[in-house]
Amino acid sequence: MAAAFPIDKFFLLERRLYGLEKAICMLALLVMLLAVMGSVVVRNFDLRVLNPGEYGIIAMAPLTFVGAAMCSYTGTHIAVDVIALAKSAAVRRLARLAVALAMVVFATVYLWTGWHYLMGAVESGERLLDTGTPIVVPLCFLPLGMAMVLFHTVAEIVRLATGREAHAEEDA
Amino acid sequence: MITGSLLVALLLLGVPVAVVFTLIVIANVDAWNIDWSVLPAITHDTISSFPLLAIPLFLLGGELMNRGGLIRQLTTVCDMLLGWVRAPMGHIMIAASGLMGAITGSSVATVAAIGGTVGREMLARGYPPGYVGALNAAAGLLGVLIPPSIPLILYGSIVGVSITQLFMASALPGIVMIVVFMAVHVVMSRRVLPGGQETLAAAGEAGPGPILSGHARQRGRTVLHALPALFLPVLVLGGIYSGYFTPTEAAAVAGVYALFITLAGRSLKAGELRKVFLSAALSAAAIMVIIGFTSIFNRAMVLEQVPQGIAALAMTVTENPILFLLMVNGLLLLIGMFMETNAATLLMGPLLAPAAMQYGIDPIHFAIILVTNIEIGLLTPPLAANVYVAARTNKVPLLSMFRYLGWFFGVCVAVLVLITYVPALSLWYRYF
Repeated sequence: MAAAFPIDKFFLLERRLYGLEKAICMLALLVMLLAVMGSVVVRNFDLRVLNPGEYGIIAMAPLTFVGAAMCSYTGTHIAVDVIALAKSAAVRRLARLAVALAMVVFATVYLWTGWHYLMGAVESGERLLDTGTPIVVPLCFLPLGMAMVLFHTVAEIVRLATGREAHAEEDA
Repeated sequence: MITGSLLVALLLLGVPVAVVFTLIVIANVDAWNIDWSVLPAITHDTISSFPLLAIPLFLLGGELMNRGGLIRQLTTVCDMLLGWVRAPMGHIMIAASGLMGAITGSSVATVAAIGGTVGREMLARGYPPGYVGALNAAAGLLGVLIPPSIPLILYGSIVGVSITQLFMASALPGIVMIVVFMAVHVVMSRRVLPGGQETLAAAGEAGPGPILSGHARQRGRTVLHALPALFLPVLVLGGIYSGYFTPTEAAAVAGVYALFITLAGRSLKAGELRKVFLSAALSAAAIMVIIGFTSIFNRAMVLEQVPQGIAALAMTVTENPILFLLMVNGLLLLIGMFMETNAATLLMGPLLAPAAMQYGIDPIHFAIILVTNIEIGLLTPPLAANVYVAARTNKVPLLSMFRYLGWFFGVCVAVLVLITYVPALSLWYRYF
């Protein structure tokens, strides 16, 4: 009983994390829509205000990197799904483990290199040309997204170890 | 050799495509003289691109059109226009897929949207489920061949050619594909339907509606009702070709327009709008992850001068561009069987386009060959996304579709040969 409790909490935390990822990605999409639409209005009406198109480009970072974590949770990454057709459950579990291990290496390398890249940007104080937004704003989503991928991958390994099924795409 | 084996093994195990190609680079960091620090820089720089914003925005527009009922309106108009021909629902599926392609630029989105509306009506009108699934999967190719097109946006961004020109170049091959699909349907409908006719008794029970027998006033009302939806492809394509919008801006305008008419028409509630955004975000994220992370592999290949190597290797085999294109077609058909469209475009575009240019092949013409080739792969297992989505959307057994898919695959290859060896089919716009 005492051992089961932390695992349930862990999966609950993973669900909450997924909820946060969904909110970030949907917001990023909305920002893209409004920013590019805004840039059309500014250009065609020759308005003397800041062109908001660059905010759309900034929103690509959360959509991609946090979106990578979201796809890890829902199992919607683009992959060759030949192994899913395997009849043997043991083969499918082995493949899930191999995928999880590959994801651990990938996410760890990017978390590490992304963190150093982010720190470099913090030190340089570099800003984007049009809006003057600090470059750290989009860049922080790279290590953040990779940490989220890593979390989902650890959860997947725990699911494998405890004989649970992989997560499937939900509510979309 | 080890790298190639690792790549194939990881892909077959089901490791995400983006992760596989990144791991290959990580495994060869020293051999390819790549600094660790450039990994995040290349990824971030690649996705920070204004043209690429078109991808999530077109996906959002398509999702709004689909869930907001606008696709159903378009389908109803197609029904009205094509209702007089024999076995009209198959033609309607093809025409509606073309219209959907003129909005979303995605094959899989087109298959899902049209299968969910026209597919159901076809089943109700007596078409065999396997044929419905096969036609749905094949017509989905129009999602990319009719501009705008997400793979062409990718090709244009990565190879450095005009996306607007690419859209113009794909228009005529797209129309040819529509014509040949309709011709196949004319022949096939005689075989698959009892007496070569649809079971009209079932018409109107689901899907587009009983327009076939409608009066002129009803038809007028149908067109009027669908006018906002019909205006969307005009807005997108007209805006791009008149030079009023860039493709990215057209995608945003389409998204805002679709959002406005679905909210104004109260065809979407707030809760459903959340689902629309989530679904579009999931699809967009899956594509953007591939774009961002495979860029490192592409950069490594360029640094290793692999495109030049491919060109040199091809030149040792033949100096004839016709034979070169034949080899490329064979290679790309094979790749299309195993790789997702966007990933394959991103990986093969920068590798093969420089070689093609050395043979004097126009990069715009080559883009249409490449994308058509890879798109045909959506019909060929093991990675036949259109076939799987059509089977799921129409609730059709997968195996029942294969006996009909061969016909569509055959005509697709015939159109591919035409596109390959008649450059004017793609470069027609230069003659005006």
